[in-house]
Amino acid sequence: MRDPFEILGLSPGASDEQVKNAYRELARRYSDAGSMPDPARMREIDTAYDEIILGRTGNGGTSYSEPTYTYTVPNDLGDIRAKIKSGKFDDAETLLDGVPVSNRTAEWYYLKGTVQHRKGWLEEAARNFEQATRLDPSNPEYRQAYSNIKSDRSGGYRTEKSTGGRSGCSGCDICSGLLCADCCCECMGGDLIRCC
Amino acid sequence: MFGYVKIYKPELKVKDYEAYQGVYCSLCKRIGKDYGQLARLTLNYDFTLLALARLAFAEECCGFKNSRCSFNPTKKCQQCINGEKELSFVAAAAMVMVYYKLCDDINDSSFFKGLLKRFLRPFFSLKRKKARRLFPEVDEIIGKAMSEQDKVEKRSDAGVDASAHPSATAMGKLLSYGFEGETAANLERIGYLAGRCVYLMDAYDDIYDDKKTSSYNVFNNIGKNEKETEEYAEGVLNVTAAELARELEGMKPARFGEILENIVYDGMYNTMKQIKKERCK
Repeated sequence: MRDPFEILGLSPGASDEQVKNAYRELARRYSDAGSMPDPARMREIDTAYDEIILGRTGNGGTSYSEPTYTYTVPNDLGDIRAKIKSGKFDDAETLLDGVPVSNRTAEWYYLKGTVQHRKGWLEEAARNFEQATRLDPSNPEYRQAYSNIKSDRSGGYRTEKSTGGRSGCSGCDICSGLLCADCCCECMGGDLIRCC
Repeated sequence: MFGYVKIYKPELKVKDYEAYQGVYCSLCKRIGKDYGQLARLTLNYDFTLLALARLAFAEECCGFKNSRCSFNPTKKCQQCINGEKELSFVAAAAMVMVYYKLCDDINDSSFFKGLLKRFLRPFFSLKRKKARRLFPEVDEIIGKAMSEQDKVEKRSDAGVDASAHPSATAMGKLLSYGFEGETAANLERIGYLAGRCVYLMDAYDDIYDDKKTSSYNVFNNIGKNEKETEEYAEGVLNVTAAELARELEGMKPARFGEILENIVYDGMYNTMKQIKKERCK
C-alpha cells in the first residue's frame, strides 16, 4: 500500500485537524455521495485515514470492527451507514459534513440525526429527524426515529420503569390459573368450576 | 448548578436511603481527611451522586460499617469500606469544582457582592492545588469545561445542545475516568446525559431570574410567551432524562442500581415539579 499521507496528499507531520480536513475534501469528491464517485479510491482513502488516526490515538473510546463497505446498498450514503453500524460516529459525522448542502437528502438528515443523537445532541437530532420525515414522509425508519423523540418529550419514559423482581400474582394470573386447572380437571373426568 | 440531581426519598427503600446517606457521610469524612475540616462545608448531593455512580460500577465490593459523625458525635453514620480510591477522586473533583465556581462567581459579581468569595478564594486555591497534585486530569477536565462554557455562552447563536455540551462532556469524563473499554464508553455517555440534565435543570430553574438580571440562559428567546418557553424547556429535560434512563437500563451496576433508578425516574421528575411549584407561588 502507498504511504497513507501520500494518499491524502499531506506531509507526514500533518496535524489531526489537517488529516481530517483532507479526508473531508477527498470524501466530498470520491465518496458515493460526492461529485466523482470512485469506490476503489474511496476505500484506499478510508484505509489511509484509519491507519493515520488509529496509529496516533490507539484505540479510541468507540468500538472498532473491520470496516464493512456495503456498496451493494442502493442508496448513496451506504458507506456512512456502515461507519455508524461499526461505531465510528466521528468518522460518519466527518463524511456527512462533507456532503454539500444542495445534495442533502432525507437520508442525510436521518443519518446526521442518528450521529447527533449518539453524541447526546438530542435537540439537533430531533430537528434533523423532523426534516427527514418532512422530505420523505413515507419512510418508516425516519418516522419511527422522530416519533420516539416526540413521545419522550411528554415524559412518558417514567411509565416504562422496570419492575424487575416484583413479579407478584395479578388478577389475570389467578383467573387464567383457575381456568387451566378447570380444563385439566375436566379432562380427568371431574369438574372444578361447574359453570365453566 | 448544585443540588438538582437528587433522590426522591418517598420512593426509596430504607436500606437504599441508608446506603445513599452512607456514601454522603463517607465523602464528607474523605474531604475532611484530604482537605481539612472547613472544606467539608462544600459537600453537596451532586458530588454524592458522582461518588455513588462510580462506586456502582467499581470492581471492588463496597460495604458499609457503623461509625459516628465527626461534626455531631451523637449521630451515627455509615462509612464505606473499600471505596477509598473513588472517594478520593470525587473529593478532588469537588475541590476543583468549588474553586472554579468561586472564580466564575467573582467575575460575574460586583466588588462588594463578591467580597466574601474573594476572601475564600485563596483558601480553595490551595485545596485545588492539592487536588491537582493527586489527580491532575480532574483539574484539566473541569478547567477546560469552564473555559469552553464561558466561550459558548458569549455566542449569540449557540443552541441548547451546544450550550450544554461543555458541562455535559466534563461530567462524562469525570464519571468514566479510570474505567476502560465498553464500560468507560457507556459511563461516558451516562455522565454526558446526566451533566446535560443538570445544566438544563439549572437553566430551567433560572429562566426568569436570568431574564431580570440579563444573564445568559439557554432558554432565552425560545417560545413566543412564558408558557411556551416553559413547555419547551420541560420537553428538552424529558427527552434527556428518557435517554439517560434508557442508557442506564442497558448497564448492570454491581450495586446501588435501585438508587440510580430512583434518581433518574423519580428524582428528576420531582425536582422539575418542585421548580414549577416554587414558580407558581
